[in-house]
Amino acid sequence: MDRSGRNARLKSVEGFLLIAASGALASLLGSLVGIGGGLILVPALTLGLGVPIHHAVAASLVSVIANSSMASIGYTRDEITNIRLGMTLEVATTLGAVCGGLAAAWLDRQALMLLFAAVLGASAVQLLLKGRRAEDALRREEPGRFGGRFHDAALAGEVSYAVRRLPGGLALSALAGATSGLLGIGGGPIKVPMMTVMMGIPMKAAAATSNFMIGVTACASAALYYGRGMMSPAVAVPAALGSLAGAWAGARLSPRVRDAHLTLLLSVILTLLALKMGLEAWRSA
Amino acid sequence: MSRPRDEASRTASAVLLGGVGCALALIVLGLAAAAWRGEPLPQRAPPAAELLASAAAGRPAGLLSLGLAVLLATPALRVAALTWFFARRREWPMLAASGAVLAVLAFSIAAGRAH
Repeated sequence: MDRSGRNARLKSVEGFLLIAASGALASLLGSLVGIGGGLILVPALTLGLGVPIHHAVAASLVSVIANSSMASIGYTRDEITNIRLGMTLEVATTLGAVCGGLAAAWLDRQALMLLFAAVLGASAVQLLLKGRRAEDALRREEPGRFGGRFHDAALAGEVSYAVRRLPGGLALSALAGATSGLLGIGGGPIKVPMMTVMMGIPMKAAAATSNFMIGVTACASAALYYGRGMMSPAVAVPAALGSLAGAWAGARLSPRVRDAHLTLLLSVILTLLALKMGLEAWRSA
Repeated sequence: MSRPRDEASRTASAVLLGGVGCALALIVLGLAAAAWRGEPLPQRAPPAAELLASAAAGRPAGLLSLGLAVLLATPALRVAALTWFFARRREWPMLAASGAVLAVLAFSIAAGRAH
């Protein structure tokens, strides 16, 4: 093999590893706090590695599904995921996503991005103020119909919680789905703060349940990209492998991390996303 | 925790593990085939109609794309499995919820393809 061939191969192996590493980092963070990681991966692929945007978005959807599926294997096995609640909220999310996708052609994208940036910023503040005020103490509430129980390794005991304000949760889940359909991003940044602050669900259970749901939200969009030939295996395969590894690590790490630290991490991520979204909206003016 | 939730968790975990496992196996086979042939990773996936034949023939593009397709289908398979689970257990409210999710998913895919 001549030098140019070796350089091309080195580039392709190097590119493979860089994409995989980006997917792993996005999924590690995403699996810890219940967001898809696509909001981290797409800029990393387009700005950092020069991947065309439609290939980057397709790879991001693959990453979200890989993250959701792999993380949920562990979270459902450990019964941290609230399956009953997740399936119920999924109805509202998927309906919202369909409505959002259909309405996308008529709504002003810049205004939506500004609104979403404001919502993210407000969520970050709410999480910091209310989410961290609740100490990491073992909760022993009667679960009721949609509540749950799981063993929290960080607290070395069983947590038992009830779910509050389900109608409000359904409404916000529909909104999360609609923003997903309108802006092409995941609903995790809305759903996790909603579940923790409004519905009273422990952060670990909220992140695990959000992880459970986001794969379904991404599934329909991913099928479209695949069917239209916009998915490049050269980009999607390393993204998938990296994401599977990152999600596996995140699901093993999460039970050992205190809810307060996960809440702080999510607040930081939401703040950065709000700034990024606001900047994009301002630039598109 | 009550037994139905435990079994729902086991069902979901098993389907997800099976989907991810199959996808990972196909992707690893595809990478091995590409390395064996000295080919770079394909930039495009084969058309859906040729996907299975390409994978059966051991072509890297077919194996990798089939692996990606299985991975993408895993969340939908999870919903279908839980729908079946709730139907067997006659948990009608949860059956309605999971069935509605499947229906909306099918509708959105069909609507997207129609565009």
